Amino acid sequence: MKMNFKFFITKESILTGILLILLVLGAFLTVAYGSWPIEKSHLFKIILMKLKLFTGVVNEVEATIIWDGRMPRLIVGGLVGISLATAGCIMQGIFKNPMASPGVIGVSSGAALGAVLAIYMGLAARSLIALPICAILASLMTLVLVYTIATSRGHTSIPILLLAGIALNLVVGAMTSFVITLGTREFDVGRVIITWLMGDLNNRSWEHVYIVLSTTLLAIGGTLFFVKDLNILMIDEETAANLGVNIRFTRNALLFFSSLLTGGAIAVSGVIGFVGLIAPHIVRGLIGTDNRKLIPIAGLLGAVFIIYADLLVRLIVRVDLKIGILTSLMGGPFFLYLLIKHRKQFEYM
Amino acid sequence: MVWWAVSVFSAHAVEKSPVILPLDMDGLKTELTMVRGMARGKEKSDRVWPVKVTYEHETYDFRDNVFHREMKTVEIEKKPSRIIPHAVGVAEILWAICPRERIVAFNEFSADPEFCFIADAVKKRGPVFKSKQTELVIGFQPDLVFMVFYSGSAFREKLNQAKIPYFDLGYFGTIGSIKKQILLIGKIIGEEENAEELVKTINRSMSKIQKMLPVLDSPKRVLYYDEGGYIPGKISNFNSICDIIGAVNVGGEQGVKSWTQVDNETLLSWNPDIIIVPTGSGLKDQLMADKVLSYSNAVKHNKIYEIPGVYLRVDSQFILLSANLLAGIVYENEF
Repeated sequence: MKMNFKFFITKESILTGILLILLVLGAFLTVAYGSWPIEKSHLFKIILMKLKLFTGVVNEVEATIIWDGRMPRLIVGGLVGISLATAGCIMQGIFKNPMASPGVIGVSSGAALGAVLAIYMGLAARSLIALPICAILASLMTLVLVYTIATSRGHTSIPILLLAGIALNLVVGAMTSFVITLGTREFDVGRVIITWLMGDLNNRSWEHVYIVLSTTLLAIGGTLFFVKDLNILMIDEETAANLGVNIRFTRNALLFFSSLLTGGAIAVSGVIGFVGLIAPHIVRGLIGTDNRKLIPIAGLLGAVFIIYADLLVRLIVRVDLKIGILTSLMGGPFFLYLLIKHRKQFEYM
Repeated sequence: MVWWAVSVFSAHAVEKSPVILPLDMDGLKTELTMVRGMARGKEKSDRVWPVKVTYEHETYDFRDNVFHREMKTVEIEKKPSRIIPHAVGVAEILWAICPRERIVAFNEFSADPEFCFIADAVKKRGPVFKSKQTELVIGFQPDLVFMVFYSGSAFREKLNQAKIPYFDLGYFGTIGSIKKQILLIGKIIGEEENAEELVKTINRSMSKIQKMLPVLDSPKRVLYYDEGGYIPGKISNFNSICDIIGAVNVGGEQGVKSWTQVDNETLLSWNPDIIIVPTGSGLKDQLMADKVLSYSNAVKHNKIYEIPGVYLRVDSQFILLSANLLAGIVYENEF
């Protein structure tokens, strides 16, 4: 019997396969290398033992370094990449604008302000979950505020939402700067705030994993529930209404999920730029605009991007370069290159 | 040898635990503060103004981790009588060697006990200006403003415009540079004898502390862990404090020059004997709870100590207080 494999050889499957290979390789490198040398054979034994698939003896110190040090860092990095890329897909879909990202309606700035306040007020030093909670709450509060401003008589205007987002970005950004100014009086606090604002995956723990995992699962689950409606919304609102899409509810829900993803990611990693803008762009250019395929693959690319950026920062560069700076340094020029090369193509939305 | 009740041995600042220190802390602080009185009567009255002072101006370029040294000469027209220090360390030095009526104002950090050892006295004495209140500084009509490397060019420019004389002291940090600056400040303000007396007091106290230190087979390895996981290296006052008490600053030992951020895995591989964290930072609890660090010597033997930030930021003769305190912690029960 002759099997037809053509079904499997699609652009999506090839891209997914490549990204999965890169993800596995990146994950291996992240877990295998660090300042404490660990033999590769020990590495697999430790992981298998932690997964209850091996019952032999392993070095306790090495097991703790891998399982409680490197693994949380890897998983947090991956989940942050998935969250930011998914949030970017949602925003670009809702606003029908390839330049849209979680930052445009002030959600990222709100999360940053919440986190900076948590550091300044000393809450972050007292409890590990204080900073993430403050960041998520502040991002949701910003979303509610910008949405309230843009909604009149039950109708939410997209242009007003964008403009209100720009204005709130400025206001919240100024407030963050003010807190930084207050923080720099206490040199140590100022340094922590600035480091955090540049993105940081240093010393992530399982608690950070649980926080970002819960926001990611909840928001991605919700987004996938509305993903068909998002595709229809991207055509135009009239068509969407004719096809029975509850436009207001769908848009609100998707904006909420996007904010949750952004807040959750920023809460555990600090501000990491460009992933939400670039990952959806690259994937959309390769496989098209269907969000059912775009969101998972862009998420995968986001995870790969963050994991490799972190590897570069941690193992290769080894100076005080922060991951947020690196993603912007790599992402910015690449984004400009794409814009110049595909000027026409980016007018499709 | 004295007992001193401080919160340094406690995770909670409210608890007080006794620490054995080489020297009495209050006595040492008084000695380092009251030098002006000790040198009284020895002052030369035949000094002729203006005076020319030749000195080595030292700056530290943190980008390349190198010191730049340059010989400079400055002419002081008359004995300064309205002096403003723009940094905590300079205020502490002036407080010790200069008649206090000649110090006309202090910056806000000098009145903050988190930063300054004479904060209470400064608050009482006043007036206090905020670091950016250049207009207020000009309004005090000083005839000399002492600036340091972080005073800023805008501040300098404003003083220039107002024709207010200023003196840029350059780098402060190590015990050597602090002693050099004390002598220079003494020359600039015409209080050389007091300055020399203060340096002698520093040397005497340092020698007293060092004589009391136990002889160990290998020196204790101490690491200062600041918020955000930052570690001071070779070019830091913490390194200088460690040098005074014969301990090894692990950051410097591992090749860190100024400050760098490290992860807990690196910290474990460095495996310090003792970790010092600032009081109130919550870092002790964080480090003690970290699973990776649970294998480090410092965590295993509960050798993470909190020290008030003022002891770690010091850039004046009071670095001896920090050395005295750190010696008490590092050589616990070994005097």
